[in-house]
Amino acid sequence: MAKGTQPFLDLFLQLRSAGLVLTLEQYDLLVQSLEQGMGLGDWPDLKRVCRCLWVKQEPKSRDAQLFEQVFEEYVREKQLVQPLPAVAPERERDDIGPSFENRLPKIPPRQFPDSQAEGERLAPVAIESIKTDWEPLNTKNLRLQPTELPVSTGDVEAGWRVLRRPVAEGLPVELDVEATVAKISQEGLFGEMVLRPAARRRTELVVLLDDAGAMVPFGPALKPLLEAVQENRVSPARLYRFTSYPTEFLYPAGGGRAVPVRQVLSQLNGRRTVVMVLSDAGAATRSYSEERVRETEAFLQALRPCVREVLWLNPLPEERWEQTSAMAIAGQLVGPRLGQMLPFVSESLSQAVLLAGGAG
Amino acid sequence: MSSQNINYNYSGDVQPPNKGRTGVTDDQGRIYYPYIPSDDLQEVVNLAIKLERPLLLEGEPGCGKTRLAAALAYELSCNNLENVQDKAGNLEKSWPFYIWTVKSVSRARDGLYTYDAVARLRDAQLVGSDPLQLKDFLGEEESEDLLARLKNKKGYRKFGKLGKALRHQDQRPVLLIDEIDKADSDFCNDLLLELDQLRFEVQETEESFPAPEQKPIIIITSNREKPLPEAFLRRCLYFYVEFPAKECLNLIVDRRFGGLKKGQKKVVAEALERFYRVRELLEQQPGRRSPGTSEFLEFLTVLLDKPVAEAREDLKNLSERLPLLGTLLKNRETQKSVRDGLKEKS
Repeated sequence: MAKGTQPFLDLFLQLRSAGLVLTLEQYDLLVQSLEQGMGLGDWPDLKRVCRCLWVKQEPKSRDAQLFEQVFEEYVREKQLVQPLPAVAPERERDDIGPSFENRLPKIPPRQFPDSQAEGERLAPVAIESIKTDWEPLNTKNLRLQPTELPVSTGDVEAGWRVLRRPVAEGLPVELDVEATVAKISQEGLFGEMVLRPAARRRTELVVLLDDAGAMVPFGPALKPLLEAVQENRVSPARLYRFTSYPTEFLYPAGGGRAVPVRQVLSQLNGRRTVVMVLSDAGAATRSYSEERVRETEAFLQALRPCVREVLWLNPLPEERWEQTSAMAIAGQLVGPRLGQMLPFVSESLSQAVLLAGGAG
Repeated sequence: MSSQNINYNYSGDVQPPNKGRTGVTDDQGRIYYPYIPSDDLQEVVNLAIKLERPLLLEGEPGCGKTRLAAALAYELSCNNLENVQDKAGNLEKSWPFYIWTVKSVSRARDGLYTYDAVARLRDAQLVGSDPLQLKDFLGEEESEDLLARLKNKKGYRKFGKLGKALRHQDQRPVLLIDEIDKADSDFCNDLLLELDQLRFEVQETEESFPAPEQKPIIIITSNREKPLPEAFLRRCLYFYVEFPAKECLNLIVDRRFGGLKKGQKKVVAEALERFYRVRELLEQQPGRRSPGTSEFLEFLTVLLDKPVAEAREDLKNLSERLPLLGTLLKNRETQKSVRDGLKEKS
């Protein structure tokens, strides 16, 4: 079993390294329950306690399955008196076991100089060459996890929650105590209550995606964000495409007829709409295009009065913007209510969200 | 009764007497039904009680999340209060049990307290007017009450369910926060401090209430309409209430509809079979909601009210008995797919 003072700490650490989000406080909870005599019966008993302390998802979820898997492995390890040799699972995976080797055709026994009888023809002797240090690059275990990409689905949803800050709107139904007091001090008499509209969360998102060739490599990185919009996890939100820079028309994401920019703008709400532009602005191709800068500026100018905030997320890091159109466009996007160009990393998504939430 | 020798263990064995479909009531009109927890659930409840942590229950609608709190309160009443039951089995006294049903407009502070600033304003205004007129208008007694009330700032605050549960001193009260996912996404985050440290402050009167010695037993239910914030989940124990297995549901039926005749027992057995068949059909179709325990009990109520022969006939031709099927399936597409499935089999 586990060490005297820290029971099942190894289990806790294994679960953590497997990807479960656990804090020390939660380990402490287990220690507390063990002290109270809970979960000491047998393995299923302990499992029940650990599950309800550490897994906060329904049984079919990833977290729950991960927990089951790690816990089973842990129990198997502890139950075996002699642990399996570390290489065993490796063999299994490669599907080449000793039995397989035995089945291979055998080379007839070699003849060596010292085992030769005199007078026989000398057998050639092989000399072992020096081993090189070079090993072939192992790409077998190289896996790019989608979670390693800059922005995860969770970030998108968390950001959206912040963005949807409450805005007082609609019919006045809530008592405004401060305004009521102010009114009494003005009139010297308590005449009527001052009502205000209740705060509601209203934010609309419009995503403008650059689908030019230079943006193709960033497709997987942008996927969580676009998926969140398309699957209505972020709603209300609309997604339009443009190529390199927005011209007179925008193209709806799901296909269909192009929509004039003017029509899109007329549907936006100056107090609610946040526009998010996803484009490299020429930084990916290291090019400077006068036309691109001019057209983009014209578009931004038309856009600004219609929206609460413009955020430009550039998939390239800031140092790659220099001497390209991106620098010039970023220069237009400086100052309150003018928007901002940010590199597309997780931090800037939250920064963007705070910015959009704070303005207006 | 001293607080030392209170038995807080939840065994799940103390059940209200079998009173058919009506259940028993307590002195405040709350209704208690028999409740059969799974072994896991019973253990988790005890764990939550011992660790003094809120217990978050999730699961399909109608699988008995909300009823658990009442069952716990019932058992605590019976184990720790004397002379609780009258002859009919109803409770004459009850364990402190608070139910806070969360609505979409609920705010976290409402659960702790509300402060009637307008009433205070009105009182101040009345006192400030002509004293003679006031006495004429309200009478001697009422105007003195008014003055006394106005002097006491605290008279205008009212405690909510959570506030009351946090102020209890003699026993550990049971607090049910029902359907927490219905509220705004900030709701859970606003409750973090209160649930973590079990203390709160009233800003208007500048009072603060430290964590009580008798920590409330908090049970929270959620239907997972919205994901709950990570920080909130971390503070709770979590349990996913599974739909009861056939034997367990049989036991529940037995407790709820005790004293059935032989023919009726057959109806129950057949109804159970049909019900699990319906669930099976729906499980193959993602996105369709399966009927829960509460719906099955309604379904059975309808059947048991009928003569046995008619009920069995209804069950046989379930796909044609739309009103009956309506107690289990609550939308047209689901009904249609189940009817097709049932027809195929027969």
